[in-house]
Amino acid sequence: MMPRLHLALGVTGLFLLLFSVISLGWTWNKVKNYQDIHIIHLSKEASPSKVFPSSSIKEEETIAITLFSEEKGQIISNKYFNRFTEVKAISIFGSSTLLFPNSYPLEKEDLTGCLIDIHTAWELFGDVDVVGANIDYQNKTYEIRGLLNHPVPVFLYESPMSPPSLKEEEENILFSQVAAKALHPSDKKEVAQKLRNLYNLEGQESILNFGRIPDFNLSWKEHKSALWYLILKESNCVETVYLIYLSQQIYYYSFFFLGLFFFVVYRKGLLDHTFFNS
Amino acid sequence: MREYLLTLIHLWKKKKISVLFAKFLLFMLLCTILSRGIYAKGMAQVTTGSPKKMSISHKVQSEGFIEKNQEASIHIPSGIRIESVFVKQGQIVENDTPLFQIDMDDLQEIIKEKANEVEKLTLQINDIVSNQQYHATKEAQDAKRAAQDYALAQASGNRQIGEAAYDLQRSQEQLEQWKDFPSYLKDNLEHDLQRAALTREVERLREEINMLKDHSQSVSANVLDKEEQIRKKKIELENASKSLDDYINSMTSQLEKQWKERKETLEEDLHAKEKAYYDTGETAANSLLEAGRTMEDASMEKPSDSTLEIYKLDREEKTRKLAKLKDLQAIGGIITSDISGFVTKVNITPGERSNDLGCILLALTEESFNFCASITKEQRKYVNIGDTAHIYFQRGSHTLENIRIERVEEDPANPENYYIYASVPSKNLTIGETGVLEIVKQSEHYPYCVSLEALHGDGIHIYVLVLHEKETILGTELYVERRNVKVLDKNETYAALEAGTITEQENIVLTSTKPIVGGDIVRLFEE
Repeated sequence: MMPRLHLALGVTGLFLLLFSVISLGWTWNKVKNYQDIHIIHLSKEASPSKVFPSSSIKEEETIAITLFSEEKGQIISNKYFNRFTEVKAISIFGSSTLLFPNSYPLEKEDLTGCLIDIHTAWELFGDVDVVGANIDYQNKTYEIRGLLNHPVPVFLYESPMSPPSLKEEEENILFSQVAAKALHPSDKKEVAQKLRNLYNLEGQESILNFGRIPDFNLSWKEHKSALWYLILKESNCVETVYLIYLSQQIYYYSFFFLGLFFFVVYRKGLLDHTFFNS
Repeated sequence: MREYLLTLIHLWKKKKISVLFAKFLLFMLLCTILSRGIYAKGMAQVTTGSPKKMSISHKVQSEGFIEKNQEASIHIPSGIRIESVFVKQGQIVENDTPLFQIDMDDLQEIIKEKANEVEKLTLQINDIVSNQQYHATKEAQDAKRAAQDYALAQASGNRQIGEAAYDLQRSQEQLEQWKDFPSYLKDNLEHDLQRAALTREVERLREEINMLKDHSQSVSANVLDKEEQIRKKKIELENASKSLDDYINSMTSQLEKQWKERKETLEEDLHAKEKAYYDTGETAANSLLEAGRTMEDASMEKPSDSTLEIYKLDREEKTRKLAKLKDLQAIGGIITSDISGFVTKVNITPGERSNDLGCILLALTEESFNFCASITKEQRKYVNIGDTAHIYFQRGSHTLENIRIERVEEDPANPENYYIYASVPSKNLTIGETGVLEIVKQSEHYPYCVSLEALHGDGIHIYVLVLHEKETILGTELYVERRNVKVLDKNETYAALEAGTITEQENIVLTSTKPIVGGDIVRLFEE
């Protein structure tokens, strides 16, 4: 009986190793587009007209920036089917690829397009192939450009830039968070500094370094700071994805190490010495 | 092989193989149950319903409020001081009830000021009229004179040009008539006496020579003398001929010089006449142009001047106001109500002057009010004049039934909105009270109506999912079929579908626990 259990442990260990390696590969492939995206929770809300006052700053040459804000409990509707659903509305100024790199890119000029998640599409249309259909939000009609694979119901749309003549107190299009990415790998450590110096954007940085865990490029202090921030604060759409991938990776790594343990036990015959003989 | 079979028989006899087989079957059964459980758990659970025959009701609901049917404004010209106000807001007034009193001294002053203004305007109008008449006469005179000057310039120019043309023609004729030199020479030589005398002398000498020759033939004596005489005569003749030729040559050169001088004089005269002709034409044309422009200037239309009309309108307005003020003075400055109603607003205060807003607003005492509600363009499709509506008032749970819609008007500020008006009895209602208007419109009967939640759409097509059964190796399974439909009518709950796509017996998927598409295996929702 004991040798059979020994063999079963070896087989299970091999299976767990294989499963965890495949799963980790799949996860890494998903998160690679998120690499080096910096999320800043601004200490003071910013408007596009103040962040980009003129064409003097060529952000394309340095870093890609997307301003965004999230508002929970927003209602979007499909008037034709008389269906309503509650979503987290994400208004952005900039490209959506910094927030959702694996989906259709919504650009800042596209003020009539939007992205929704698959669950919301099913709720409103009873279908998940709804690209090109229209939905309504705050008395405005948006055309669905693409679908997001996101665990929380979301509705993402572009906000227009206010006229430059508008005074600061009259601004009604304000953003509380920034997603930024260095266009040159050499600049990736200076993103926060550039945001502060060039665009006067300051706040708490949530270091979301998507990728393989552990990432040896980051110190444990940085990991700890980011994790505490995620645990204590309410996570935004990108941070939610980060947490999901993080938990997935921890899950698969635990399988990997368990499988490795079983296999080592099988190979060395430790089980006989430690458990069965005693 | 034989040994293997013998071993099996041996084991069977020992009942070991049967136990193993039973264990194997039990294990397979457990696996099957587990796999079916996982398989069923992964399926979407759906609820279904069948199409129904029904009519689609369209309910239009909108919040509105009670407003006054009619309102009248009591007003007087602005700027008059109010002495006292006799009514207050909410007070009911009858016809001829005094409302307020005007300060009569102030009114007298205003009337005097207005009368002076009217008088000033009248004087200004008279001055303008007089000036306009003077300018009109002067302009007519200037125009007449300019026309005369133009006619004179035209006549004078024509005359001067005619004279110059005549002189030019004369010069041309003189030059053309001036003969050629041989004729001139011939004429002058013919009439020259000296040349004639010399010619006669030559001819006389020739005759004498001829006579001497004749005498010498008939008379033989003195032949020598005769010949001598002839010779002398010939010498005289030669001398005379020579003198004649010299004279003619001399005369020819002299006459040629005279002829040339005369011709040059005539040509110069012709050129001078030509120049004079063209100069005269140019001068006449310029004079005529100048006279024409003067005439045009004189007849040019003068720019419009509305000063007089403005003054007249101003005077008319002031006169009208003055008349109103005098009317107020005539009635002693006491303003009374000309209708029965109640005071909704008092815009005047004793001691202050009246303004343009209207001094007092009065609402007519009536038996009905208006109920006004705003509806959207989409709702407008189901509302028509004459439709009946129910109105639910929040205060006191008061309900009005079968109220007729009187008017439907477009919102001038927003073309996407409309206002609907209904006349409601004023009993138990107050102005400004809010309520909810509800109109229910029933459509015709449709044979295939489904719940709105049964509809699916991909932005292009609308479809329903129809539930079917099929036999598989796992037994009877349910699957859904996508079927595109056309919606004939719908409201917030139901949709009427075009006949031919679904039947009454078919089960339409209403809800699903998971996203499903046509062809998916599903199971019915279990309570």
